[in-house]
Amino acid sequence: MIELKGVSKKFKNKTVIHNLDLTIKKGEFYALIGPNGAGKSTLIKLLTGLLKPTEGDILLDGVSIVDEPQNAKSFIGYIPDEPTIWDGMTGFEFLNFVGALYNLPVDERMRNIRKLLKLYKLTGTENQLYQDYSRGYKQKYSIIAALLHDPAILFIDEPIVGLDPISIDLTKHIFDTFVKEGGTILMVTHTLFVAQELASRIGIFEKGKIIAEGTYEELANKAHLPTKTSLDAVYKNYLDK
Amino acid sequence: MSDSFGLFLSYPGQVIKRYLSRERFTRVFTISLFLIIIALVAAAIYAITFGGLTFISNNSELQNGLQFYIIQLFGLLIFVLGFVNSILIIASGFARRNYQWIAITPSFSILAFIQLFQLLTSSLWIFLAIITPVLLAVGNFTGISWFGFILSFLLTIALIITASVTGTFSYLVSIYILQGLSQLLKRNIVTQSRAIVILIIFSIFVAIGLWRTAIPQDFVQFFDGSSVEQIDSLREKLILLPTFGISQILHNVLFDSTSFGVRYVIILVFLSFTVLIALYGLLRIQYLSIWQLLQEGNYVADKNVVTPNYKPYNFPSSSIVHTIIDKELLLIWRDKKNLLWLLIVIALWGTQTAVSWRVTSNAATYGPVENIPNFVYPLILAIGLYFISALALRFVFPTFSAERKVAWILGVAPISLWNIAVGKLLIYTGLFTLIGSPLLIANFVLLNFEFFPAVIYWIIFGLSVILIVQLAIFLSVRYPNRFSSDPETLSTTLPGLAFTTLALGGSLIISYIMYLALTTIDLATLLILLITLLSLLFTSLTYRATEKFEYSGEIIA
Repeated sequence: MIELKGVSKKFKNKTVIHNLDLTIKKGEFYALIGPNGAGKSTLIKLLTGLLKPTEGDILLDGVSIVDEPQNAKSFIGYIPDEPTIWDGMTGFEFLNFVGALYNLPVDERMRNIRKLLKLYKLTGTENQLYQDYSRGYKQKYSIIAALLHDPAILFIDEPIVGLDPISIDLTKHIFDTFVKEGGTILMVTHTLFVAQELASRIGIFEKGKIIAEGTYEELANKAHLPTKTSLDAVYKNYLDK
Repeated sequence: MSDSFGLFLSYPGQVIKRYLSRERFTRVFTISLFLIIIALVAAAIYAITFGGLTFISNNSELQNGLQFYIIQLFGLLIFVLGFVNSILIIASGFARRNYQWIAITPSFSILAFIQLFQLLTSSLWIFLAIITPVLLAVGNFTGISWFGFILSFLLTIALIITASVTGTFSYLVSIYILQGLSQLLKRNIVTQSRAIVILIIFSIFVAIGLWRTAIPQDFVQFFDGSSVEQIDSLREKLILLPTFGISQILHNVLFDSTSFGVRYVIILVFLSFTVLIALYGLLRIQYLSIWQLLQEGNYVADKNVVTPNYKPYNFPSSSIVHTIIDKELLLIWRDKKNLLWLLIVIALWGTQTAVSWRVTSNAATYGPVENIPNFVYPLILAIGLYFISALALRFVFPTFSAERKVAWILGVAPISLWNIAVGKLLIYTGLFTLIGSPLLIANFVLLNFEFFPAVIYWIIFGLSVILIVQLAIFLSVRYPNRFSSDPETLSTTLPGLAFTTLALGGSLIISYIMYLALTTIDLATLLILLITLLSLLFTSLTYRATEKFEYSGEIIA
């Protein structure tokens, strides 16, 4: 469960997130969509502990990431939009390093790595340097790294950029299974069809505030649009208002 | 073409204008601080050169021979620096973002050549901080005119250009050797790494030759005889040096007669431009393959290229600090440029130690070595701390800024930034102490330093290493750079310059106190206490900085 209580974030005199309250229940897939510069990436950095809120608190499964960051970070996974890794590491070393940071025993780490590499059809590439991987491979490795320690909550920033169609299907399936097994996901994306297909609730974010939220059907209804309309049209309708 | 030439000419001005368009005060301050540091270094070189020449002039038997020898060594040093610098620049040049706009097309033009030349000489300007004070000091000592100084300056510039062109030539030749071997073997073996390996092997042979020629077996015999005989005998021995001729003319201009040098200076400047034109011709023929090599890392497109596999390391430790240490070691090992940098510093430090060994072992053949001046030991300490500061500036100070794009891995993991800082402190302190201690101890043993003071010096060295690394980590965490991860760029930012000033200034103060401590032992105890307190202060400041640290701005992708 993710709870934001009166969260604000200021950079010098500029307020990027405005007194935000949001609750995402356990087992829910929440997609946050919005224009460039709306504050989505700042929000995800606040949720993952990369930034600290100027005001308010963030609770992840009841643990405050502001007061107990290490405890809260132990059960979250993060998939960035730009999966940059140290060029001098191999994929296998990167995954092992991440596993070590989460204090996973070597045996368990190896088991999980082998399983996920096989799932993403990366077996055989793991001992090559990261600098030699394609954009898609890098994205797959960052997804595996986020899942390695079996997190309870996943924060995802543009999950399918650079992935081939088969990998997109696989990733969607993994996220779907993750949620069905009780995990919680907050995803920030511009790829609206993924949000429409997977999310149980969608928030439209603009200028540091959620201007509308609900299921896709609820959003369409509130905008007085037929439910067969694409999320793209619903989104544009809200932003035009 | 004329448009692009205009753009090319106006580009440096635009870069400066853009640089000063934001945070003007901070940036002007940064430039001023940078210039002050350069001026201080130049002043120190001037003082040492002038003082050294005055000291030598007190010995009427040796003065002429030693002066001749020093100018020869100066010429050789400038040549070696220019040579190595040009190879490093050309090998990594096209990887620099600023130059990619000109390297975008494989067609060769005068513009590309000028850009290449600018690339080669862009980092040479720092040599002016060495050349100018040395020439000024020698000129003041001998009382030459401004015209003579300008002549000697031109000569040295010609020497640098020749060294740079020779370095570039050597690099191209090593590529041609690989091309020839590829044709013989009927498979492509041309890579940048192999070209560098050929140059390193070649350099080792040249270094051995230079060592045997320039560092004599017996200094006493080397400088034996009257003034004229000395110089004649030196001339006979040093004539094998590649820089002998140009250094001899430089010596004549500085010490004998300006008029003697004019025609030679004109000839040499003309010759250096001739080799420059020869390089242009060579590049014109082979530019496409060179361009591909520099851009792609491969000489020819090869569909059979197999991406290499590496023996994996699986981070077995359950301790976070240990894991961070393992990661740092792995990345240092895998980064060839960093390794090369580390090797160069060790080689320079090793050369200084080898010279100590050569001089003392030579002196020992004429009886027990006694009366080594007291200033030599703190000087050895200062040299050691200078090398440590250079290593810390390259490896430690950029460490958090260099990780800005991978910060998401560490930032979202359940570990504290403090643990990362501790891991970095331990690995770099350990590594630098491991590199520095044997060389420092070797110097002390060779120079017959007494046991007890040597131990105190070593303790001071170890504590200073911790302090320098701690300072670099503090500045890195407190002022991470959001825009660059290039160590060379980071070292010229305000925090980078602050580190350079504090580390070098602190090293000099520590060495001076240790000089005084040779007669007043209590000072050493006080210094140990002071360095420990400063280390604790920086530890506390680093801890506070890690508590406040945010992965904001461009620090995270």
